[in-house]
Amino acid sequence: MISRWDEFRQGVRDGLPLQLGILPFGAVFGVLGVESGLTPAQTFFMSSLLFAGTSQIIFAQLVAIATPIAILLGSVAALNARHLLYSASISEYIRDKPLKWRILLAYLLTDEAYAVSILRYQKRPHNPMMHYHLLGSGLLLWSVWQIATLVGVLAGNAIPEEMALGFVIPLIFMAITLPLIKSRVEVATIATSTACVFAFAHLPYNLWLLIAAIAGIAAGTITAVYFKQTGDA
Amino acid sequence: MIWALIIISGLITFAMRFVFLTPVMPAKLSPAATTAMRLVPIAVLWTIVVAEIFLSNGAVADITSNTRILAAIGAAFIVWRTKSVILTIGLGLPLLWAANYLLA
Repeated sequence: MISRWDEFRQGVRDGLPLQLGILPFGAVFGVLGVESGLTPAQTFFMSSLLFAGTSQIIFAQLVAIATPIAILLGSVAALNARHLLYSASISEYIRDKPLKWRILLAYLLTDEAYAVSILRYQKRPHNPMMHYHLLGSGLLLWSVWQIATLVGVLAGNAIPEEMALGFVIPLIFMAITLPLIKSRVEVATIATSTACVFAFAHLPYNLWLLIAAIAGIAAGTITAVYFKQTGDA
Repeated sequence: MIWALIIISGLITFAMRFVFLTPVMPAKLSPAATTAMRLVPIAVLWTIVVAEIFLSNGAVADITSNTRILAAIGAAFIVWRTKSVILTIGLGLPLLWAANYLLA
């Protein structure tokens, strides 16, 4: 019988290596948030109110170029729609827990926490204390994210523009997306998205962002259906 | 205004994290919908990568003077060899500095 604290500690341990990526990512967001015209308080509290790194950076960038509200909210929603998949995936394991647990774990359900805890759940599907694992991995990430954001907000003005820190974002996203490309489904997705960025770059309001993302998802899904590769792959 | 947008964005995001943890939604998506969901981060993040490298002020930047392309090619190689976010940042950023310094 595994105790709840064993399970919590296991979640923290499993999440630890990922924090190497979270720290600089959070600090970059803190820097970019203030640079893009958000106040230090808005930048810092976005990390707990929104708590979804990539969409926080997009939020800041879209605010900086005065994007209309609908496009901004649409971009955040499109970017975070992947959480629907995480939610659907872990519901099998925690949908019977009390409501307060489901609310708390939903709030903590980030890419990284999901990634480590779903592995644990698949290995031990009948562990009654399993919700403490996601609590551990989620709270660790939450804490590191708040600290990293604060560091970025405080250090922001000390970093010269020649450092080109904004380039860290495409670097991080390349490191995340490139290893996910495993078949013609993903190739169809990124090829279509790439073409759409060039084709629609001139459109106002950063419309290319949503068009390229949706077209890429559609192309990949159609490819998967056509070649019968649908599902989790 | 910004505060309201942050809070609404937070509520939207929380709703998407929570919706399948309620009994009112089906626990399973169709296979095609599952595939589409799986492709969301790839499509969105890759779109941002392409835009960050090739676009400048709402237009495709002059390719002949765009040092970000060289740095991105180097970074893609680092990702391929190491799959490490830290190394990609740690080596990719200096690549851009070097390209900017040498080609300025």
